[in-house]
Amino acid sequence: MKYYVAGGTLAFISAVALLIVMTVIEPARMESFTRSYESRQIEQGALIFESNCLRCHGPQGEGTPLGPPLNRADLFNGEYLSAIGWSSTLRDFLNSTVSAGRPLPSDGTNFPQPMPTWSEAFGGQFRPDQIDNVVAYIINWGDRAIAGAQPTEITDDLMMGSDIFIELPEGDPEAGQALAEGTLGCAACHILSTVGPPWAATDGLPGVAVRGAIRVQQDNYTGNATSADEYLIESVVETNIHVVEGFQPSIMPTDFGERITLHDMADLLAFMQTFE
Amino acid sequence: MRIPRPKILSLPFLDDIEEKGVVKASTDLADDVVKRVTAGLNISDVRSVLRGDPPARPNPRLTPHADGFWFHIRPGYYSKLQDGLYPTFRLGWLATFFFAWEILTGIYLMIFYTPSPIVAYENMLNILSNVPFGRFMRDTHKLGGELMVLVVAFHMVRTYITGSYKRPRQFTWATGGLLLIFTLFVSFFGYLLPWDQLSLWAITIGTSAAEATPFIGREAELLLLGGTEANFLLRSYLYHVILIPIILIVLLAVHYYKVIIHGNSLPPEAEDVGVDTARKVPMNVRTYFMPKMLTRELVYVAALTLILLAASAFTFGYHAPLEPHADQLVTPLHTTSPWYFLWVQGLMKLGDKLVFGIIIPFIIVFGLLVAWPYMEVGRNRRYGARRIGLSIAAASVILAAILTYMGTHWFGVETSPDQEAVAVLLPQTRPGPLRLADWDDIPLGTYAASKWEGAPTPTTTKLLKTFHRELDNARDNPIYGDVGGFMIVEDWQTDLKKITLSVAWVNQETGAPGEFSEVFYFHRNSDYGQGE
Repeated sequence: MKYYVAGGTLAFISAVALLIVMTVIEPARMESFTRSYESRQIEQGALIFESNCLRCHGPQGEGTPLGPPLNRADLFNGEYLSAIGWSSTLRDFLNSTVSAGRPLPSDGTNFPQPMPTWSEAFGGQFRPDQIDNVVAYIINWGDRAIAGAQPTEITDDLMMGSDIFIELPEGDPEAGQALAEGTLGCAACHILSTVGPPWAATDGLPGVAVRGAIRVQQDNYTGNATSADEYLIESVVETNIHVVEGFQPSIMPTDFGERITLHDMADLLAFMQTFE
Repeated sequence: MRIPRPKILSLPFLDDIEEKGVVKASTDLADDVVKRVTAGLNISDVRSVLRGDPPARPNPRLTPHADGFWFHIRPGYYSKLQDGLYPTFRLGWLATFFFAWEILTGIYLMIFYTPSPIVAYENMLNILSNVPFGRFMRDTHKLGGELMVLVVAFHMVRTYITGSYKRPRQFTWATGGLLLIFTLFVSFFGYLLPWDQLSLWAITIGTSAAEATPFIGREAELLLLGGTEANFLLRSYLYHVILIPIILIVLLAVHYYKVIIHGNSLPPEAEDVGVDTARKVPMNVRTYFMPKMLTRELVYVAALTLILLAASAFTFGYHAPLEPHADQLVTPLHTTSPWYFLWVQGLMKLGDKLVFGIIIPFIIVFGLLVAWPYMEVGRNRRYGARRIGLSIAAASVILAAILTYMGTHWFGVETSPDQEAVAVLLPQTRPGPLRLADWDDIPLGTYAASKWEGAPTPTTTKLLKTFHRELDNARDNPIYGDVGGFMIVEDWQTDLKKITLSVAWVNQETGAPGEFSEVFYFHRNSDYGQGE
């Protein structure tokens, strides 16, 4: 009996002490969860952006012929908002634009389609929290956009686009290798596995450096290239114009032309030319 | 000379002061208040209870059992054979404790919750980020609910083993069986309320049997689920917070009353066969509820409160899961019903929904459970005389375990090894190794899982090694040839990396290349593993 009473009293006092400790650490815990929640909004928003917004606004928000750039300084430094006379915050502006879309393309632009509506409330497919996530993701471009830094390191360069006959600068095979094994991820499918046609020589076929010359001569070739180098550039930027037999179209991402610069293309080409 | 006070107000306490003096009047008042609150014990009685003194005669400690509400639902005395852990293990008291714990924490959570698909999930995030003790209340409510299911089930098993369900306690057992069934259902409907993927799919699986109800399947489903998401959530909420708790309270009252009426059954070996002496405890073997049982029960309460507090107070410990927002269009990889209904899911894999999803579990199993004492009517409670009954119980427990295993995704579910391998690193139902990895320690680049030994940092080595090991299942599969796993890490935004996990193979039957990949955007501060 004595031990029961003593044990019970001890447990009770410990429980009260634990409650006091919890009360002390609770504000820090709430703050920590709030911060991580805001970070997770960006992560979730990135996924939504990738599957819905990328086609018109570009993978890095740099804009395409279908939609304006979002990753730009004037959107984040307030110039754009004062120019259009928006009196509330950037977050509100983005939220309302993403939710309700635009009935007409903005003045002075010549985009083929207006921004569609995305929020459930306006006939779109996303819940309010998903819209918030996309907005958080777009706002996260702010720091770099205001600092003038571009997502890729080369800033004074033109984007590659889809012209395969364009004149390229001198390429550096080592820089090309870094791109293929690094940010562009070519190596995963073309060097380390056979998801895409291997770059190295296999099965009686020579490496990609010379393989293009054979391809452009084949009867079933549907592209526009006339030389091995043009063929390689075409395979990067006009992915689906000619799909090698045995592979499916669009497995290879179709947006490399909008993701890489002329310099990148030249480096990559120089690297691919090492696969004899 | 006493000055007569004008009798405008009748204030007996002032009269008492005049009569006895301030000290005596105050102690008498305190004594009176204590006696009213405890329904019969004055201060010195309470002190003697706490000191463990033997009771006076007639025993004043029996008065609260006769006159007070809280003690009248408990017997005034027990046999000495029952005051230890055996034979009851106090599991009934434990179940009641958890029920009270669930009500208290549940009320706290109700303050911050709206049963609407539009805001329910946001409410969860608000509870976690903005409500003091919000995470703790959510965690402990969930943990308490699961433990309550366990405790109630153990209570039933104990009652079965000691044969305490036999005459005259058949009806006590029946109410207990119903309490178990409704405990399962109250917990089940609570599952839906956070409105995350776990909720939605666990409940969807659980309620998919409803439409198989004969003749009125559509109507039954409509009545139960309400047809739309909003109705579905609202109804589950009302089942969880009103309908089933009311049923539980009524059943609990009847269950307690029956225990008073019949007394606690003695251990089976203590009585002659077919005789029930629980109500006729001789004076020399009595243990009074106060102080012995009361003290022990209060010790249980204090210790359990401490354990439950400690279990969820800090970042380590138990935390209720919170998956992504519910989405009808995205089915997670392995969806299962709550663990205590996995046996039903296992049954349903055997065949027809009507037979295996409704008739067997809810009519035959639950029916047998409640009606068992009316069918198994042997009077002998001795273990040796109940070999068949005890064997049936053991077989049922083993069968339930097997069916539970069959209900999980490890049994009878076709999965693709490429998706499985990616899901080990990036699971849909919990943070998993990639989300918990050190953000700074994952440099940009493309890595092959097979070259994990040459990976640049400890974190990438560990992740790639896991990835490579998990792909063994694909390598063992004859269809998958040339399997390779890749992790591509790109710089994406300020503090944001894009990580692509990709599995590539060549289909050995068709010769066609195959690929599966999943993208995870990883933010520096997303800090998983804080109890979500």
